[in-house]
Amino acid sequence: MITKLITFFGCLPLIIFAMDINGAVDIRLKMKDFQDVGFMLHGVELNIKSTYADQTNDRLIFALQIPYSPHWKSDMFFYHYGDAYAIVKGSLGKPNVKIGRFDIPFGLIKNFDSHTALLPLLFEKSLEIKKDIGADIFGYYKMLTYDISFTQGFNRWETPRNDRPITARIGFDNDEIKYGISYYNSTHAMNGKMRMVGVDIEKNINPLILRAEAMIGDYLSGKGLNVMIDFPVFFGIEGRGSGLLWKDNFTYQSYGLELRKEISFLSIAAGFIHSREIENINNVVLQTIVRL
Amino acid sequence: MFNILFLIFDFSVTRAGVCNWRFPDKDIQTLFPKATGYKTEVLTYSKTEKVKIESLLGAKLDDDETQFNFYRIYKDTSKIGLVLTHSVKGQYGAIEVVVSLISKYDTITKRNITIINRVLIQRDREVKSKELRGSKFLDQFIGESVKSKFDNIKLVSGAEKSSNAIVFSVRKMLIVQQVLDRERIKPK
Repeated sequence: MITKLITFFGCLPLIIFAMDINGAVDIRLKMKDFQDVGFMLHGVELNIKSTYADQTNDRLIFALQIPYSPHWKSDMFFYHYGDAYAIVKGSLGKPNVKIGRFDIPFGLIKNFDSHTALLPLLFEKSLEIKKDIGADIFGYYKMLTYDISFTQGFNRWETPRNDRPITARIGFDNDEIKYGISYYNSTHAMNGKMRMVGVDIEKNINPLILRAEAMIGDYLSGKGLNVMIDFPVFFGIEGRGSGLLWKDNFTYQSYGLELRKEISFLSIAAGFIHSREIENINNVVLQTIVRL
Repeated sequence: MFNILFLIFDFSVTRAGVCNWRFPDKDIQTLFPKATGYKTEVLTYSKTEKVKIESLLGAKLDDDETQFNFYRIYKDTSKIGLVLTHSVKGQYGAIEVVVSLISKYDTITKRNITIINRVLIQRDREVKSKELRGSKFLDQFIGESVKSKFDNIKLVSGAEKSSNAIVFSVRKMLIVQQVLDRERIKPK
């Protein structure tokens, strides 16, 4: 079989080098205002990543996530699932290009993996976009990281809004601190220009990790701040506290606490989120993730 | 142009448990300043190899340690080193260790042996992080090989548990390399 494959693909310059397949099932029990209790399969994901190399360099990386959720358009599922991209890697130290559906490089989205987190993040209220389809040019220069992406623009219900966002971030990265400045620019047919500037920081104050971001934009004069602190509790339980404030036509504020314990293939978490926009809402969420 | 053979070096379908190298482009500048590229390889083990690793290590592999990432480092077309990454439990959470290896000609055995080039910590939550990441602690690993007993390593005071975890992680990577690596690194 391998000989046949070599014969068939003999003309290609690439070598298959590594493939990684894994998956996860995320199940949640949600209680709204200590009354409405709902059990749900939040999402199932199958992740396939393969790396192709020439004689001396990784050249092409494919990442595909096959997600399933019975409620794709609620609970922000679409924000966090459905990566499908290829990375064309440049030579060491040279720019790389990512093409497909990926996280746009703005603020904490760039470095913080939030796709199973229980606490809300600022982009949900401000940009209302996380994953988008397009191209991203990114790389390192000494201690700096840079990203610029050109994407189509999808709204929060995952339908095209075609406002063609351009997103850019320049970050500084070392062992103890990461910080960056981001810019987002899009033109919406109905709402006009939407420009947003953000600063983000991730600082290790061991054993704590502080993450914060602030954004300001001209669309509806929106501005907001999000602060998160990760802290160890005991018996390997990790805690995370969060506070979020967003102001445009309305004011949204929330604070929450998440406790998480990793046990081999399981990740078990409990979260409490108090939010206030038009009314006060208290959510309690119990989460079990089974990693496959 | 398209004359390089399509070779299947390692095509493995495996479960989670891989500790990725987070900042390869940046770390390579420190570990191998002359490097021009790297290739990623995901290696799994057979039952026999698992038994061998565990017997040399004197401990069981973790449940989710079903595969290991090998990053082969090149200078032009020459293989000059290898990098392995591993996540180990410290006092305040996971410590992610990056171990870079080179090959050296041993005049006594008259064979190439694999030794440690450098060790880095890419992520940790330790209170004594600065000391654990410092050259005073990590430089002690330079030149050690799979045959080393690591008895002489001076642990960071007040962070003995995490220091021992790092020693264990480095030893594990050396053993994993010895058992699983099917390619040799050319001497520097």
